[in-house]
Amino acid sequence: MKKSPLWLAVLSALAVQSALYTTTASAAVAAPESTATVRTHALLNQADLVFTGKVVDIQYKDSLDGIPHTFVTYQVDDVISGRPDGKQVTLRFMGGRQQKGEVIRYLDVSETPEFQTGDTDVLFVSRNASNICPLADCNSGRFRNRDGVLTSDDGRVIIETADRSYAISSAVLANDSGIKQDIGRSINEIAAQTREPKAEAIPVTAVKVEKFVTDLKVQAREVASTRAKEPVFISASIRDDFKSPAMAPAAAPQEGAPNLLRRTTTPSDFDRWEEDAVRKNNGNPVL
Amino acid sequence: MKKLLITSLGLVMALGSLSASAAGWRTCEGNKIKWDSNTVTMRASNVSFPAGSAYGNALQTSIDRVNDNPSKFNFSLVFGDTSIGRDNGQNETWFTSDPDVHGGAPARALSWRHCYWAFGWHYGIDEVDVVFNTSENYTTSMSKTNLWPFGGSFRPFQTTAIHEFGHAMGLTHENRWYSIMGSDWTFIHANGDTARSYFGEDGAEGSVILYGATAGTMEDLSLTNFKYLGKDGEYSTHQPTQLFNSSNAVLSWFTDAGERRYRVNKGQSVKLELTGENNGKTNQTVKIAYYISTNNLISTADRLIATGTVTLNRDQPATFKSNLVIPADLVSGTNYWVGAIVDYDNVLTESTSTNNASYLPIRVN
Repeated sequence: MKKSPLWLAVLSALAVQSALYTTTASAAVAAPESTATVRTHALLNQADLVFTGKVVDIQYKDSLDGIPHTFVTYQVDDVISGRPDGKQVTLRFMGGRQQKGEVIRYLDVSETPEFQTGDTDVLFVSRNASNICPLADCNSGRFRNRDGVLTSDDGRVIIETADRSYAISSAVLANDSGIKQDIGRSINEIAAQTREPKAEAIPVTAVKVEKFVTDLKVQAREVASTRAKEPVFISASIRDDFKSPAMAPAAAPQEGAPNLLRRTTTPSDFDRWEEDAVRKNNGNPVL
Repeated sequence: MKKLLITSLGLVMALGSLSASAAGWRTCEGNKIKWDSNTVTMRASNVSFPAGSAYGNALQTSIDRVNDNPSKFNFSLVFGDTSIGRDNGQNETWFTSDPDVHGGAPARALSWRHCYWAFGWHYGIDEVDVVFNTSENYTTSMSKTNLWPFGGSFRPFQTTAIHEFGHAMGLTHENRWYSIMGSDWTFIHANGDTARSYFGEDGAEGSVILYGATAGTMEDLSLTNFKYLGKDGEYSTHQPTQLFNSSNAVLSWFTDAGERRYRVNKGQSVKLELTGENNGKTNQTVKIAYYISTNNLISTADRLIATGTVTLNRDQPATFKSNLVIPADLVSGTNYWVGAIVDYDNVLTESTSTNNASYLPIRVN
């Protein structure tokens, strides 16, 4: 399910409450519609390790309790924050391919990214070998390098806004065409009855990966100054046996919504009669 | 007593005539990955969803709404599961407070499927577990004032649950149309003070594509005051429908009790925008009527201002505008609501008629 963390909460507010902003923005030609702010400080605070790198290997292994996991290994290009334990970093995600004899099964975990060998990314890694998705806010902790242009995990171009912050635009860079290499999670294609969205022109305010990395390094120094000495980040190892997180059920949250009725007009006798009549009619407005 | 003023505009609208179908699903060598049975049992944790509890009831309602589809498929919900497990051959649902599990997501679906060749292709869904995050600001209440899409502070649990069980059925995310498989909390119906969750036309279309249409009768038309806005990655985003002047410019509005209230003049020609959906089995042409109301509940007891007919095909939701005239005898400075009821003469037998009406708030200048 789509989450609404810090930066996505802005989206829902914009979509519902700010019709005027949305209308104005969508009428603009030069700048694509900005959909959500990228809160780099929050991501840096959450991350144990931030780096740029390229996927060089993808493997699968079951946990001791029989749950397939995907091990994605990156060749580290540039460290932005944190201390990796080597020139390669391996991340462990719950889900993936499992083969027992001739039977091949897949575990798909929704809201987690998919990887291919050759992907070049900027990653905010958090709680590796612990969290089922070891990226800060999962999908939000991965940015793609598409020929030097920075995009979100799903290919939307990151732009620089007027106040010099970063935002995810509505412009989508098409996926690389050609032969798919090793696929991190789903080997089967998703079939839709219409085509993928067409690639849009790169916005003029699109952020280059190089600039993003430079800005992150400056911000990372501010974050690091408030932390104690950073421990070395430990890669996951496919040679190690491990257990997947226990999924013990918890009680549902306490109901926090008040039972308030917010009315702007005082109901008339007719209104009250009408409400009662529709209620007695099982909600059917045809009386 | 309200005075009836009938103005027949003879509106005829044929909507949803695009040839492309909605919905998405996974495949295995071109074969749709789905359950091999038309009835699948989902088990609710006794810890997270005690039978008769608010969340238990909300879960049941959500399953019922998913099952309100024109395909052969349905879920059966069983309460009292005492032993949650992954890959245990049981489809289960529960809440978790473990950040290593939910990772900040409001909910996750863990879907097992098989796809391999052994003297022929073998494929299908094996098991789906749905896990909800206790930290998400959910509410089981469907009172509009509580809910995000209407300016409230809480996420409707039902819409998220319906979205997740759409995954459990075999549907993927949708970003091309107004769909429950997009941003779920703005896929919602309201007529009156209470909102209503539902599976919708895109979900209905997907269920029929995967499992085939039911042999029996199942019809349902609906109107909503939300529409497709755009894409947020894999997800469709939605926004409230709007009121336009005769030149197609959006009328000025202000936020009132979490909704947009449009400023209109007496006697003004306007265009009311709503989204119509056919959530049932067959294409329908029915009558539609438009009303002015003194409250946010549109019914046939309200003041009729226009009638027409509408054709709704079952493929994808249809957002449309209707030409109306604001009556000249309304009171200045007063709040009203302009709305519509589809199948206002009750000709069609529907699984529910609660969703047949919707509205936009107005204030007369």
